[in-house]
Amino acid sequence: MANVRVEGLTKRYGQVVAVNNVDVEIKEGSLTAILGPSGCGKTTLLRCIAGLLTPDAGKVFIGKEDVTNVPPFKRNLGMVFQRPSMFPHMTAYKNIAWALQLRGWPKDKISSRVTEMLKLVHLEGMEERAFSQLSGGQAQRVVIARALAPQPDILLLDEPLSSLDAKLRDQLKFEIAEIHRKTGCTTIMVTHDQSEALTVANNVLLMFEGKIVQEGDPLDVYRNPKTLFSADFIGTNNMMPAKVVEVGADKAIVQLDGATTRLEAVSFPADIREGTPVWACVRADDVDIVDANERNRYSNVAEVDVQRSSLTGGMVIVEGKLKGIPFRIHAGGSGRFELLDVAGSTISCAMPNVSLIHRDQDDSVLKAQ
Amino acid sequence: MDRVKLFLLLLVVVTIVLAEANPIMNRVKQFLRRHGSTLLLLSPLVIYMALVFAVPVGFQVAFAFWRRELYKGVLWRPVPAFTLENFVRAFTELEYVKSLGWTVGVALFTSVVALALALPVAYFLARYKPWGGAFIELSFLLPIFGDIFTIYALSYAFTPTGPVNWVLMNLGLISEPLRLQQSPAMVIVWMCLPTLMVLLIRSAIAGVDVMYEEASQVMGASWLRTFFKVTIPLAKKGIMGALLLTVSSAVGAYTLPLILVGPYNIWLANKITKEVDPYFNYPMASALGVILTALCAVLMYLYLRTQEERRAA
Amino acid sequence: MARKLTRREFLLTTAATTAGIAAITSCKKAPALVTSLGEFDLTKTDQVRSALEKEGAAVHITTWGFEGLRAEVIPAKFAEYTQKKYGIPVTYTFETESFSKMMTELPIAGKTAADAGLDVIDKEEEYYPRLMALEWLEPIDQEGYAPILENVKKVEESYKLRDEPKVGGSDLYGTMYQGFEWLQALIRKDKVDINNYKDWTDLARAELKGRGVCYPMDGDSRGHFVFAGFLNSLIKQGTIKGNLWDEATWEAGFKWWKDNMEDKVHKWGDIGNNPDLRLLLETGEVWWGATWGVYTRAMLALPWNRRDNALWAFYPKSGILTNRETCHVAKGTKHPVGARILIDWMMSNEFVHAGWYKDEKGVEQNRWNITEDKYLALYTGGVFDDQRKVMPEFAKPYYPENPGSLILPCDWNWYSSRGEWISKAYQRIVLGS
Repeated sequence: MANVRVEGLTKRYGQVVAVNNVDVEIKEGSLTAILGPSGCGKTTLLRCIAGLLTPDAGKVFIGKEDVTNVPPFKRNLGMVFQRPSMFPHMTAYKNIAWALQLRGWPKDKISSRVTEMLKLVHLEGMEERAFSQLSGGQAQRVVIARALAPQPDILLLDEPLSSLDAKLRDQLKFEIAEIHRKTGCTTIMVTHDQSEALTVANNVLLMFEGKIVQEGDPLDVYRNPKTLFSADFIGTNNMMPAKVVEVGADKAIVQLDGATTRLEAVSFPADIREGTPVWACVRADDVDIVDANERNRYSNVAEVDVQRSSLTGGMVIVEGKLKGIPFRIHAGGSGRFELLDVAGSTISCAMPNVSLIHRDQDDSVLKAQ
Repeated sequence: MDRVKLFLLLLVVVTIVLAEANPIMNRVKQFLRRHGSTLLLLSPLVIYMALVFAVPVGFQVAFAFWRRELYKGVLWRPVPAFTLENFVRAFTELEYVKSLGWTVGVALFTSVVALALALPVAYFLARYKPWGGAFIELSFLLPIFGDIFTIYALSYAFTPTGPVNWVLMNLGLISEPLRLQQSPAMVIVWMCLPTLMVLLIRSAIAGVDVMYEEASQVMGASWLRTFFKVTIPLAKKGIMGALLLTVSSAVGAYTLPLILVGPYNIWLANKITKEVDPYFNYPMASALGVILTALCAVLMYLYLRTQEERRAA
Repeated sequence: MARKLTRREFLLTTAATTAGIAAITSCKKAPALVTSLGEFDLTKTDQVRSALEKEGAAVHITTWGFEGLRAEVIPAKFAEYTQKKYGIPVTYTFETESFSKMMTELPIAGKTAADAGLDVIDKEEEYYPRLMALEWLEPIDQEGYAPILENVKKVEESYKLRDEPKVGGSDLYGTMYQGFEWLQALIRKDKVDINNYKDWTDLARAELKGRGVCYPMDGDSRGHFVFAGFLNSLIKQGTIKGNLWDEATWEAGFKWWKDNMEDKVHKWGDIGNNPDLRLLLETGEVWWGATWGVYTRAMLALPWNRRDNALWAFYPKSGILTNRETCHVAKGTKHPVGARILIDWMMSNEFVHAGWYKDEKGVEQNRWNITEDKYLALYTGGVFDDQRKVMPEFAKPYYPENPGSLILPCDWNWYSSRGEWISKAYQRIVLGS
């Protein structure tokens, strides 16, 4: 178990800069998710940490050691790939046993360790199964067991659940969390699926176009997006153009452009001043529908003209406009089915959690800070 | 009436009889009804193939069971008969047993050496995909395309005053030039060149997912260990196939020993021509030919077996 | 496919197609009219010409290469000769297919040499018993053909092959045009003292270890003929007792060969025709080689030897196994007149000397414009006395004094069936396999 530090890491593919001067430290024992859309450089970053790629500039440290030029087989790592990389020409037992042999484990300890690892991934008794006799999920579990068996400093997972079906994905992601709890091994997981990242990890690195745009606790990243990209990528955010009216120590007040509505934000960048143009972000599922006559009991209440209301995946989605700006509400809770009838009417929405993000003049929605 | 016409007449009579023999042909009826028109369209081709290919090969196999008799005390002639003596001789007489053993042994040895030589090149071509990789691959095929040129070039290269001896003598490795003219050693050297092997092994290795090699490296296996413990076992199907293909063509080596050693050498194909020309023993030559063909057929069958998809249990 | 074909229809179609093919392939051209001699009186040249016209003025022969001349020179010269003599040029073509192959395959198909288009067969005398067994020959000077066989008449009796049955009053089944042609040896006289080399067995001297080139005994009849020379000398010297044409004697001979000669050979092959092996002799890596007389003389006349004067033709005194080229008429030939004219021409001074000989006035002319070494390879001693006398001067030193005394004839009837036995005996005794 060790921490990982990356300094000034840059990796190019021809003209494209996949990882752009990244500095990050991943703490010992954490379960870090590197989250981002396709092509943001997360896999490249992971492979540089693994040693499968040599960076064009910068350094990689595992623990105290500078491993930038050390080949992967000399770094003490475990890795799980996108598709199950269980060796088809070896049984599950042999896969794991060979991993231990390579790291110099003595023969008499190997057998018990293999059994132990298979138990950890809920595959007791499957020692003699080969790849062709296992399902995708089972094979991936063998790979996880194999990666963890020799007690590596770091466990790297490159989108480990992408090749599995949805239900299995759900189940396995919790198992990964459970395994992390049991072993305490520093784990870095790359994923493009935010639900995986936010559910499983205790630290999220959000990556976009080769840079890390936000890092922190999953809940924090979720609730307090600090960049336009973060706001757009994670969850569904309603983004309303506004200007800062008042800045305080722990809250700021903004007024929506072209309206008199004022909202109070609890999360905002430190450098906003009166008049700074911002985006006021409200998560679609962070909206409470209130009765018109109870408006005064809530802060940040606004009217939304509902255009459409539908049921999707158990959740009711209400689409409408707030002062002309497109506004979306994801309603959960037992009373949500009443909202199926509100199309065409106006409802009152309380928005307790408003975040502010800087708004530049030539903003396109996906521009990072 | 000469035999060819007799055979054709027989064919005509048989097909007419079959056409009328309704009760006997019942099972075949349905098949022909379904595919009859196709067969009719193909029949000129079928007949051509039969006359040009199947019939001569059939004659050869038939010859293998014929005897030889001394005609008028001076001339050996093949005589129609059914005897296994040619095959018995082929497997008991030392000359033929040695030839078979030598031919197969050399084929195996040179194929394995060619494989060993081809592996690093093929791995490089498969994984690093250099620019002009296709040209490199095709250039390995030159000994096959320009075979006469390369044979004579190689033959010259090993002459006492040629480049190989020049290099070896100047390096002080040998004091007297190697005399490899007219020797089987030259043939073995040439057969060890990895020609088709490079192509085949490259595609075998390319078929192994890089992911396995990466997984292995991260697991702690060095590059060499990964190559031998992961890449090669996973490419086994392709490698075995390539090996079998090479062996089956090496077993039929004919021009190479003929040019590099001489008309009377130990390779099986040359033994066959020796049976034909000085010995006039067509039955024996046919028997040896049948053995050679059967050997190649077995190897091809094994090759096809290795190419089958393995099904999950 | 409008409707499905019935089995019956398919089979009948196949039968019809096959029958059609059989019919077409069995259509032969009408056989050429063979001249019946009752029709033509060959004493008159214009009738000879008519006969040639009727049968088609062409002759197809199977023969050796004549150092390339059979393609470059002979067709033109023969056409010239026949034009001059009979007023019509006769086309000369030669067979390229292997004759051994024809000898094996034609009988299986029930055909003869004449069916394959051959008119004249020019092969070594060793083939004679087999050609007679196959019944592929007809006598040459049958009734009526005598007028066109002037040269054949002059040929000495020892060069004629006579046999049963007589046809048309003739039993002359073959006539040789080579006075002597045999498997001898040549030695580098600058490497050894040639006074030590009188007979075959002298080639077993220790100084020649690993210094020779010989035809392989395993499969090559020429190797057998060289060995026969050795065996004959061993019998004459009393080392081996027995009849030369006897299997036991050959086995004893092979034992001797294994102990004495096997290590004297450096390379097995044809030093007469193989440039790599000739090079070994030239560089001195090899000191002796066994080959035909024609190639021996040709090598003596090579530029490098004329410069270095290193080679010496060895004529072992006990005798050299002789195998002379012989001409025959293919039985049933479609060009009987043309065939005999060709054979007669091949017995002439013109042909035997390859156009280079002294004419009636004693003036030497090189009518075919050949080089000296080609002459030495082509002239093989003449088949009648007058022929030998007109040899050009330069060639005299290259020929032995009395070749007739060195001729060791072979029992071809014995040898014809034993080629394989001899090869296998060699493998068994000498190679131990």
